[in-house]
Amino acid sequence: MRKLILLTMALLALPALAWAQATQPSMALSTTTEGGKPTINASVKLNGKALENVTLQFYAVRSFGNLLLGEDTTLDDGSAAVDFPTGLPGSADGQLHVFVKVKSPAQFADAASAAALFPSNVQRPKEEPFPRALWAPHAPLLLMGTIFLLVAGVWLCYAFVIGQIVAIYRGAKQ
Amino acid sequence: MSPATPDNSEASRASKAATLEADMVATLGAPGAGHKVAVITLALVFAWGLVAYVHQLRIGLAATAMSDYFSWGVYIVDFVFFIGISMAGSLISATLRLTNAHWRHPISRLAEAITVFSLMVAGPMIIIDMGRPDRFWHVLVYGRVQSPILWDVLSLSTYLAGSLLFLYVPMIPDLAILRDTPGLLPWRKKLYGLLSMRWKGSTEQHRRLVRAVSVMAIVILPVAVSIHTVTAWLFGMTLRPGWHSTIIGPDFVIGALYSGVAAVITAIVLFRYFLRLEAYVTVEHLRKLSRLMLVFGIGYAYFVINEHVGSAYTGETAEKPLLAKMISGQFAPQFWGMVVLGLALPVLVLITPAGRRIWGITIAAVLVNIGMWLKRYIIVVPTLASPFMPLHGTSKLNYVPTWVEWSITAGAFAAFALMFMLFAKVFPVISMWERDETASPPQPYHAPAGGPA
Repeated sequence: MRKLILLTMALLALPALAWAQATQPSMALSTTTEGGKPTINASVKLNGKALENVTLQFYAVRSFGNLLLGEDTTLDDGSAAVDFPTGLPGSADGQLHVFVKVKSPAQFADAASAAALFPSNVQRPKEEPFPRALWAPHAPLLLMGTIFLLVAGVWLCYAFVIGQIVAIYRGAKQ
Repeated sequence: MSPATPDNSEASRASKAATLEADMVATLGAPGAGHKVAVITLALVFAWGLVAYVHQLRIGLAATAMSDYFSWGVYIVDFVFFIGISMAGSLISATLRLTNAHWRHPISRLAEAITVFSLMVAGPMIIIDMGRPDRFWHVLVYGRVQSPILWDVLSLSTYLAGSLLFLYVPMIPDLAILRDTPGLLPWRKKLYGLLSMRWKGSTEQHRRLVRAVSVMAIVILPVAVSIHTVTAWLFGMTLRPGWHSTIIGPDFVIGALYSGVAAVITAIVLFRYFLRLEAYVTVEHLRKLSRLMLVFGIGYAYFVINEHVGSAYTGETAEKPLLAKMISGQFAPQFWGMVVLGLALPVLVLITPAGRRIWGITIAAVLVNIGMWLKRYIIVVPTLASPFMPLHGTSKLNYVPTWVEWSITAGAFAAFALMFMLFAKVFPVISMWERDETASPPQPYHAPAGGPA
């Protein structure tokens, strides 16, 4: 019975999946060098066919928000490209996380694709001996441990005092 | 009331204890006309502050003078001020307790209460400053451990919890005395019975009480220093002129000690007068506190000089215009007001023998309170008026608090005073059971012989 229900659900879901595949284009990101200038390329296809006249926006992922790198419209082969910014710092591993999304036409506006690119001109951030903790994606373990130990130590003392109050209460019975 | 005498015989101690208990119970009696007028006035001011806050909730922070440049304003000034005076309870009570300073008994409870009430006012100022109170929840849920703001929330809640314990634990024997005092209203009996933890004064109970108070006295000091340091770091961790300084932590701590002792003196003078506690809180107590205030005042003056001479001498690009605004520019009235009212005049009053009388000490303490509020203002506002980014459409930034901000500030001070007055009508403001602690071994508990008429 359970298998039958699952099979029915799968059969019902298939048309929806097929519709979604048919209505949202797929996009692939890559980097090339044209005339000595590095570029970020996107290739847009719908059901295997190149899509023309689709306006794309390219973004680099930053700590607080996304940086718009540029905008381009696809040619008849479904390709669009923007110049790769020079001197843009990447993440600690030297990669630059970029994504592209459709600006127009409106029916493709939900389509987006992301990739981690590592062209040679992405600046690898300098290794900071004491990185600014506030901007780091995760708090340093040393900071976490220190704060936890200090606060826990104080609250343990409070717990001890509350224990003494409870003992005073119980002591009255003796 | 009977003044204290040097006679330490058993009979004399018992007599003094009974008098103190009777006097303390009398302070809990029906309020007089003056008290009622004061409470109604403060309640009206507080209600007006609430009205202003509701108005701010309705139209948002546009009701204030805060803007993209002035992300902080009077609310943060009030927050730092109240955090500052909260230092008094910890310092006076814990330090004097640990050093076994006998003279602390009549003043330690008032000092501890100041800490609790000032923290209870300071905390909401942050939420009021946020504009949308529901966003405080985000601090807890999405808070970043890396952010000093989260550290401040942590230390403030830890300090408030500790201060409540530090106020409550030494009060347990007094609550038992009140529980057993005949003639009190039934709700008081219930309250004291509940809070007194079945205290009978047995040796075991006394041992545990002393242990608990000692632990709290030790632990509350670093917690108090941490809250003032972390509050300083809210400013110091930013790369802004006037804030980014290596000494801003100790600067805040010494400033808190200074304003805290001044707040304790002010409160003690008021309660001494209105509750007629002259027999217990003597001029000598106030003189000792004024000496503490003088020492902290001179210490704080040293920090202020250190802070401004350094930036004046180096003439650093960002610091120089900020200093000019304070010395002779748009913030000169506040800056020189702080120097004269908060530092020069109180120190001058206290170093003269004539100024070490009650009126002199009181005037000095009130001046310090005003001066230290102004100091908090010139910590917060002038730096925000000196942005790194170019100004749009104006050559000078100015922040003039709106009626909403002033009303909420007045409401906050009224709430602080109201909590104090309510506390003094429900709990004894002077410790009764510690009266003989230093004169002889702990006395066995005895039920009071009689209550108020």
